[in-house]
Amino acid sequence: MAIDPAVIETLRKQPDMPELDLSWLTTEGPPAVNAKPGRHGLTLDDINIGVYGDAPEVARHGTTRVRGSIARPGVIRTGYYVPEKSDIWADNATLIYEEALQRQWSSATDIPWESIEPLPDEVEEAICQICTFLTEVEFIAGDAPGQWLKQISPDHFEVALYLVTQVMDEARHLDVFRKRALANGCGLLEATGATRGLRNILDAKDFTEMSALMHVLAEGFVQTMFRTGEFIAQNEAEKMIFRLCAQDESRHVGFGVMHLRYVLQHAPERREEIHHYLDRAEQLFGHPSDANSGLQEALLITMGGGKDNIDKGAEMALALTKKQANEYMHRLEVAGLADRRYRMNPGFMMLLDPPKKR
Amino acid sequence: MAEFPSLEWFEAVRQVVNRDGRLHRFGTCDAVMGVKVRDKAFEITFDAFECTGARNIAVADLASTDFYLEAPYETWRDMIENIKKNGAPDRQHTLNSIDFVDPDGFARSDDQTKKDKFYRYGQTFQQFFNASAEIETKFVVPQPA
Amino acid sequence: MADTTAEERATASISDELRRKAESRDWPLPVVAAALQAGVDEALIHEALDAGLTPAEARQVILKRLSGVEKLSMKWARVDTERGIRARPGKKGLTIDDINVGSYADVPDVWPDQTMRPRGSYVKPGTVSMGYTIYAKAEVWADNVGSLYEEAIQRRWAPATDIPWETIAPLSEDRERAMGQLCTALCEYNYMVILALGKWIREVSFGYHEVKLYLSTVLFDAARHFEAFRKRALCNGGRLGVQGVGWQLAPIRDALCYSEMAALVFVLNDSFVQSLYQLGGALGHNEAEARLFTLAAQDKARHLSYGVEHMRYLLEHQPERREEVRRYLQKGEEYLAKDFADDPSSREALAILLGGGLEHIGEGFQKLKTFRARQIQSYLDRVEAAGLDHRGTIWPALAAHQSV
Repeated sequence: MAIDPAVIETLRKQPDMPELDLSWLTTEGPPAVNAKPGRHGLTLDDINIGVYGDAPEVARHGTTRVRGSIARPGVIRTGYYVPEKSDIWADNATLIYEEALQRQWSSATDIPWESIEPLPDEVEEAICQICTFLTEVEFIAGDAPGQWLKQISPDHFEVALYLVTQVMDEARHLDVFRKRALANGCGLLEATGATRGLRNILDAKDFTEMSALMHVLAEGFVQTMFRTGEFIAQNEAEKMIFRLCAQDESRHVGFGVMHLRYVLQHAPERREEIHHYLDRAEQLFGHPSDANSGLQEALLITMGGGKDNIDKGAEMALALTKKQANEYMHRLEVAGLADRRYRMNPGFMMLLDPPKKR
Repeated sequence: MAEFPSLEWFEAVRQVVNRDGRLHRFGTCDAVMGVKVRDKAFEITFDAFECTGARNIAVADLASTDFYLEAPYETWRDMIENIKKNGAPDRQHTLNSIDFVDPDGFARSDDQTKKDKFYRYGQTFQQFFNASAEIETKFVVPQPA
Repeated sequence: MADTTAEERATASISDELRRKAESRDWPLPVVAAALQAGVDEALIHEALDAGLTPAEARQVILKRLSGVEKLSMKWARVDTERGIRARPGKKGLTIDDINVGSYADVPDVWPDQTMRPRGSYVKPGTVSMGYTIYAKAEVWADNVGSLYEEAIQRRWAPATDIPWETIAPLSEDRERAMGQLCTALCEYNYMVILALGKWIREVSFGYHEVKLYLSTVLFDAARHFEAFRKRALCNGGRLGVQGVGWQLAPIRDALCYSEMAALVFVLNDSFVQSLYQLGGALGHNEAEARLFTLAAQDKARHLSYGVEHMRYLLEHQPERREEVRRYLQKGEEYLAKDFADDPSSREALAILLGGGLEHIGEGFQKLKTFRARQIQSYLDRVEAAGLDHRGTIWPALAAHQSV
């Protein structure tokens, strides 16, 4: 029932009544809505109705005004946002955000730590070297989105919310690999300085550059590695760690691929620019000649099942590397960058299977 | 049937709330909650996912709890009866609502950061008192006719 | 079409003879080109082709030659870090505090390393800086930060499924609008927290990883609160309200050091927001609102716990910063009071909710006075718990709300 102006007038005349404005109570703004929960509860997509779901192509104000609220003149700016939607958007941000909330886990209580038993020294050391590497590198994917959050306009809040879930996931990853390194008689080992490629992510001056480097390339490689964790893991705890981390990474990669696709669809003139970012990143990231020897050796030992079995380990490590390169290429194809196949860094290109005939 | 307030009553509630691990789904809770009803005082301890203890204490020792709940007997009785009736309180009888409407607050402490545990673990404490629906309570001060 | 051109470009360096032979054996030309670019001798490729190897077999040979680890050096296993750590899970599982044993628990007052080196590990010389700016423990630390991190994870919730949205029933327009107005203000505040923490989390060096982890949970909470209050505004035949005046957000935006931001967010503004959450929980028109505000209040109490403990740690370890911290608080208080004065929509919405409807707004204003006084009292109690007596120095315009 609408507010009766006569009621407001009567209230104004009451003794001891403070001065009333109440204009906000009768201001005509966007229409009222009545979102209803669906099978996944009440999701962000459920409330994205009409103007409330209409993320503008350009965010024109610099304030924290939330999309769909009524603008107040004269409000101070709170940020200098990336205005263009195509520079930051991905159509699956809401879906991934909700999924991230539903699929949170705890490194303290969801890992069967009691399943860890003493391992041969060299295997335990190798596991700890892998954990040291992952403790070191995982939070780059927390720091980098963090520094972009302040650039996301509330008109495009879905992206900010998604990025926050990524920061949370990476915190848990740092934490769980540190816990594993300190749980079975060894400790942290050599931080490998795998920071040339990672520094490149922090250096990115453009969101799409950051996302292509981090979500599609770096996290794509890590996701593939986590999915082959069954061959690295020595017990149920480690298997569970890799499985849960792989789920999280899949969301991050999924955002990156969909963002890249959105950019290529809405700003096709950026194609060559994106190739340049990847040219540079591939050169720095994971090329065999730039490989991290500690990690590589540790993978050979764990995947081979011991120091004396590194031929088997090498075979499996090679299979992993090929899988990483092929999945990376496949993601680029899904994003609309199939021509990357012919200008990829040779170190990766030679690992690619022939393109599937269509 | 346990008398309220008594150690027997709090112990019975504690047994109920720990019986099926129902506190687990609210997450960890580390707090020592005091309860002051008339001239009696109790200390209820929560540790990790459980309520680990209930004991009688002197009123003066309430100062060493994180916070303590204090209200007129009628308020306690209304709350517990309301919980018994519905299995959970209606909105006027939650710990938070009682605290909000009482000018002195239901939860009290000389240290605001300790008192903040009342909010921080609100669902856990509410679940504790909700478990009283599963025991029979005898009130030392009956409802006025 | 574009792909063909790109393929032609990529394979242009292959000699005609090699190209013909590769095509006749069904070898993908990009693989040949990649091998050449990687420095494989053309003669070796001819040899592989002549030997009848499939492309996959040839690639295997080439790869092994390029990247195979012939012999383990094990240098990484001989670094000088503490060994023999066998942390065991306790009642709360394996927590971040459980693994803080031996030298791994040493959190230095000044962290010397600009890299991503995890605390307790060895780092190769020559590793590059990652550009952090906070290397002083007192600037960010609180002794409860590890336990708050784990608690935040254990007490997580999801607005989509943990709120009984089906209990929401239509309200009178005045009350629905007032709720929408309150939700709008809470969305704006939480968005500002996301902006601010996003900026600061990246500045904290790796020696204090517990702080980075904890701040991640605060960001996560803020996102959830933004989401949850937006959902509440749009699920009951209502709408979002009028944008706030936003003065209280300005000092948070402007903060130039972490401790300044922390005082403003985790002590001052969170204290006032916590009271709003309690109000929402107590006045909730239905189970959904009561649950939503109560869960948000649980999160907010964790943020306050960190804020107070951090301020206490800072003042104990850098007592010379006492007046500086007071100034940060006063600046925030000044702007908060300005918000109270300049934003009729917020205070009128609260008066409607407190009074129980527009027709009782007068009564609501009386209750709002009591509410404000209690907000300020709780805030000052928290500042005092942090070790700063601020009762006589609170900004006068905010102090004016203390009297009922």
